[in-house]
Amino acid sequence: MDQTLDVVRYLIDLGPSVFLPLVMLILGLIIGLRFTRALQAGILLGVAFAGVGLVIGFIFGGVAPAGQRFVENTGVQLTAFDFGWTAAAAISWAWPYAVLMFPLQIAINLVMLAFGWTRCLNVDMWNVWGKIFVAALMTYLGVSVPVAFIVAGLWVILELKSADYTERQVQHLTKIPGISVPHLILFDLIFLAWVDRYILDRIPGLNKLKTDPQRLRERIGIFGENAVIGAILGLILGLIAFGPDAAKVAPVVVVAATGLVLMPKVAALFMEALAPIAEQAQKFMQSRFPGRQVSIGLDWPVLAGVPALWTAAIMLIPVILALAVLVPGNIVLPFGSILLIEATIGTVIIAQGDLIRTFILGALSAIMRLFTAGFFAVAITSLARATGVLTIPPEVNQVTWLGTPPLAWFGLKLGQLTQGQDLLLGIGSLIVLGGLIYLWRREMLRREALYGDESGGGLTSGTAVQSSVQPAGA
Amino acid sequence: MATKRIIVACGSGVASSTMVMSRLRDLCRQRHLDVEFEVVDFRSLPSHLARADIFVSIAPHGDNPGAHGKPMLNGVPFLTGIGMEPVMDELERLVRED
Repeated sequence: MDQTLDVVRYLIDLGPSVFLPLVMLILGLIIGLRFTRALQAGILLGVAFAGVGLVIGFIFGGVAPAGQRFVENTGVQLTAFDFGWTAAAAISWAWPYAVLMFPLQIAINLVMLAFGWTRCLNVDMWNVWGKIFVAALMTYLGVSVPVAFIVAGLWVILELKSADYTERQVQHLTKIPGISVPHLILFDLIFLAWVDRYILDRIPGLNKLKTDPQRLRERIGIFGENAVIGAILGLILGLIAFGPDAAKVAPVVVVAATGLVLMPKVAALFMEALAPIAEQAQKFMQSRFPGRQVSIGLDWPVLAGVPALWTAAIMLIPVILALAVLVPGNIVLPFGSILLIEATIGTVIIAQGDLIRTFILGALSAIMRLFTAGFFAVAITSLARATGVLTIPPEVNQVTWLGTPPLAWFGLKLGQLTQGQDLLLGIGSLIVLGGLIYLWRREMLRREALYGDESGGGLTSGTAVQSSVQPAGA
Repeated sequence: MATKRIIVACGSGVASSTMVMSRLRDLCRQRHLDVEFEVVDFRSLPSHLARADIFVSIAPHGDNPGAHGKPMLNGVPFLTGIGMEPVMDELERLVRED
């Protein structure tokens, strides 16, 4: 037994890019992949971890000194470097207990479907990382691993309910029948649905402001591309850090642009490694509900055709930079998640594509996320260090992810309360959350009722639907 | 028949598009189709479409900037795992034409 433990410890110590490919290989064989396919998935996973470490290291090397000078020059203590969702996902996958989140999510989903407690069959095996991330963070803030998994289980339930409460609105917005979006990004609506109803609805004239997000987006053109956003961000950061010294500013511009372009490219390798497992899990789940009326839960990009989502996120870039400097107590230096789509994906649903509303609600979401990312910076830094995915140089004080969901704070308080810690704040936050969930549920159901059942009751899983080929530009 | 270049677009060019690509690649191999793939995010789509022969979108009814002239296929079935065959038939037709 001790020897087995020693072997496992030895393998873990070799780092995630060695250890997790082995886990992947074994997992692949267990679920019935051919050996070569499982081996390929395992190697790709190793490449993904090494790739993320490489790119993040490159970003730190080029941008962190500028960040440090930025703090010295302005006196604004932006000491937590936002490394973006791709890095957050990487350190989540590398958490030692990560793989247990798959059976947990699948089991809860199947039980809830069997009892009719949800309509959503979540086949998105990618965003399991979001629950891993939240659970892992809690363990660095005094919550035990089992309690962290209990809270993560509640998140799974809430995601499915959130998909149910937005199903018709999402189908109306995307015009794709039979789908829903069980994604923790939509938890923003728990905090913001009542703002939309009781504040924005009462602002006279707000509904008369008509914009054309589609046209605006076309005008934004290349300014919406990662390379250009990165270059501009690097330019601003470089100028504040080094003044008009081209020899020092230009490298920051290039590194920042490179970072924002390469991060998604290396992160895609995670999905490539995961794809065969995701497919098997999907088949397994769908085979359990043949002929049942369900909505198929997909990742958020099915909403990506809504122009306001992008236009609002791009318009929020200068707002987030300003907020980072102006919001008292903020420590987050926005970088990797500067295009904060986390703030516009949920809000564009309740705004039903309206640009101004998405923008206002998105700004509120951004403020909540600045605080959340600042609060969890210590835990995220600990997780990043412990997993060994990336090396954090001394110029970088802390790392964080600007997109960290605000509900994570409530999850933490609940976890601590379960363990008898921080009783007063725990109970208080639970009462607040209960009230918010009550308002959210009522408001979302009211909105769902506004949109008829356009999909004719959802997909019958196992039958062919939705396969139309359209001419371009239709 | 030259290699056809298929571009798959999603939100970040990371998860959904890669999932769709992975399935498409397997299915194309089964049908012996000579294709290559690229995954991109929606924002940089206009810059990449010029070099593509076929565009697979997971937001097929929404705003697909600059899709002009390129045949667009619905990528959603490759996410749900339901209804992939008809889209594959259409893809095969597009790849094998000319």
